[in-house]
Amino acid sequence: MLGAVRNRVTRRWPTVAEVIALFPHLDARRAAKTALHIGALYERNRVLVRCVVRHGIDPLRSMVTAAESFRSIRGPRIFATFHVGAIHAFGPALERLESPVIAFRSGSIFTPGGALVIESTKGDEQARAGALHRALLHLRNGGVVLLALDDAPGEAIETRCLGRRLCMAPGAFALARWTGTAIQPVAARWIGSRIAIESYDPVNTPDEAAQWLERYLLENPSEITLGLLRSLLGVS
Amino acid sequence: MPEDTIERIHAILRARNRHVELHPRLLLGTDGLGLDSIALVEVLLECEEAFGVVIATEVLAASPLTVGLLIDAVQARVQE
Repeated sequence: MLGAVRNRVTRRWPTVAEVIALFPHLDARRAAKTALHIGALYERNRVLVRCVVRHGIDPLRSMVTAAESFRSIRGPRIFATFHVGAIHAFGPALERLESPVIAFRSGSIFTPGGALVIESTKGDEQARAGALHRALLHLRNGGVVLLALDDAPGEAIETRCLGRRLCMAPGAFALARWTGTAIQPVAARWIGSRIAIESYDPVNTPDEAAQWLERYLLENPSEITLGLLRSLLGVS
Repeated sequence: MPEDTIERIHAILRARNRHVELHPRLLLGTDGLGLDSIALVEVLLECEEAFGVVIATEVLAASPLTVGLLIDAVQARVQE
């Protein structure tokens, strides 16, 4: 019984060895601190999702702030998210954009408001093609599309990040190619009890996206989610 | 149905997969031509360009898309 509880808890916490395997430049002390932060990030995100599922997005609205560089963005634009930071917290910032937004998610945890629409990434190839085609028309009409790029299942483009295999979802790059729209990385970061949304310089290719992620993680190793860390390490 | 329309759409599809014989009931996706989601959208875009029409997403939303349904959708747009 105790062993089962211990295993369940430790699965939510990376080991120092796992952190050093991905970030070999960290000494043991910094790696231990990073492991602690990654575990804390996992728990914070878990609580945030539970809160949104139970109470909707309202409690999040006062917690999330977006930089002026993000707020002033108009479509057409493709926002690329990665499995870093507060990955479930983009909703309030997207709702406040002036351009209508389609956000791709594997499942919706809240009912969006304003000009934000959640599009499911689930379904067969034709269902996904339908979602992609709606996103294409949305971009042609000056809208914003948000998709997660990294750690993609199924048909994916293989890249390297931190010396490891990283699969990128091809949809964002296809949309960029079809519409000539820039792909702009965005990230949500916990700062105390608040969440800050930032946007970064555009990327053009899957390799550039992987390089962007690598730079971001080298500067902020504590921002990696447990899922991405274990995916990069090849641990299921 | 103009033969030319059918031939041009067949040419677009053959460029994606030369190994499957085209017929109206052939699925474009899995268990047919084997097009993935991106290739399916690209076929629509190529048809749009070839015929100078805009194809609505609905063609992907209804029943599984077949060669015949694609030809019908393009033809309907051309005649509008």
